[in-house]
Amino acid sequence: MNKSKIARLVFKMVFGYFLLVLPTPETLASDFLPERYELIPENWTPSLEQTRDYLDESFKANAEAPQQTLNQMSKNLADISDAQLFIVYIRLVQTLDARGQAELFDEQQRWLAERATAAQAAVISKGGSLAPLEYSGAFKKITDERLGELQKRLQQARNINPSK
Amino acid sequence: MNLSDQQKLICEQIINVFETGSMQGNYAAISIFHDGPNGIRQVTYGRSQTTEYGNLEALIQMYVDSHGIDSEKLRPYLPKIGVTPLVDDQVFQQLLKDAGKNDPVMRKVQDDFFDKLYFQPALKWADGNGFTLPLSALVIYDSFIHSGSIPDFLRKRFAEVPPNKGGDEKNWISEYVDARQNWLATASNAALHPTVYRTQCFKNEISRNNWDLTLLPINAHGVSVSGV
Repeated sequence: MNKSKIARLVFKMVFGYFLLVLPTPETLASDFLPERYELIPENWTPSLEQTRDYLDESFKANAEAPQQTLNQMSKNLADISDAQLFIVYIRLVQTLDARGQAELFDEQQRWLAERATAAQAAVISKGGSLAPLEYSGAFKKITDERLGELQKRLQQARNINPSK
Repeated sequence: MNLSDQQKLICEQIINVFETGSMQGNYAAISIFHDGPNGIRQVTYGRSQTTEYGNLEALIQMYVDSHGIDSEKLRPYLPKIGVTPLVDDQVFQQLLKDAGKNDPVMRKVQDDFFDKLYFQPALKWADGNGFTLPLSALVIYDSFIHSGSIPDFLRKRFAEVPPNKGGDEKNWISEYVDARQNWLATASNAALHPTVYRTQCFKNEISRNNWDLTLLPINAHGVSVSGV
């Protein structure tokens, strides 16, 4: 084999190597990904305020309803609070970098476990029909406190970065 | 404690009104609450509301054994109840609703089941503490249904001792009803406040001296109950 043939062979091998190790499309795309993903389209702003107010008023208007109805209404109000908390949590997540998101996730997971324990502890009428009302009332109170806290943090984050 | 059939029926009808708004009760009622183990959601079912992680399996076992209309359809669920969450199983919940609504066997099973779960333990407690009057039975039964028992913390709020310890039965019941009303009316959870309509009914009957439940009808939260 003469020198020029060897040189062409070496060139082909080196070129082939670079072709093989050329980054895949996925790898290339990840190089250009932002640090944060936008989770929620900017103009998607679901609101449960009116539903919550309606249920709240219904509960007050039917305060002397039978126990099963009271339990159901109280559960509905607790569910609305929980859904509102979920929305604010997601919005807050969106304002954070990857590390902040991981920290908030862990914090929320701990809080969820604590809420279940605290709501259960608030039940005095164990085994009775009053128990769901006691549970939902405590569940809602704890959830509303957390909702207020996360709303405050979300507002602070938006004050720092109004685009969020 | 010896209650006539009518006195027992009066107790059941009054409690049904408090729980469901009707004397007959709602045998098909299904609710989903977050009050399962570790706060998970669970199915609550029946006239006096038994839970997926509580006594629902025992109720369905009784129904399956009684060969009701939907017994065979519900049988495969027996090993799952309390083990596999059924809170999102619409077929299971529809079967429960259908049986409660359409099958007299389910209604009879629930009557027997809730009698065993609440009424008999309430009467046993009443007997054990020396109570003999039908209105006492009603107050005690209501407490078992509503709070699961006669809560100790309420007993500590008044001085009268039960009849088996030398106390006066009527005084004990009156003071217990007052303590219970005060607790419900002032609970930190405001949702409990309106439920004093139960204790108010008992206070009315105490005022009428209706200890034998013979002055009829009894006004139970706006519904006239006569035990018929």
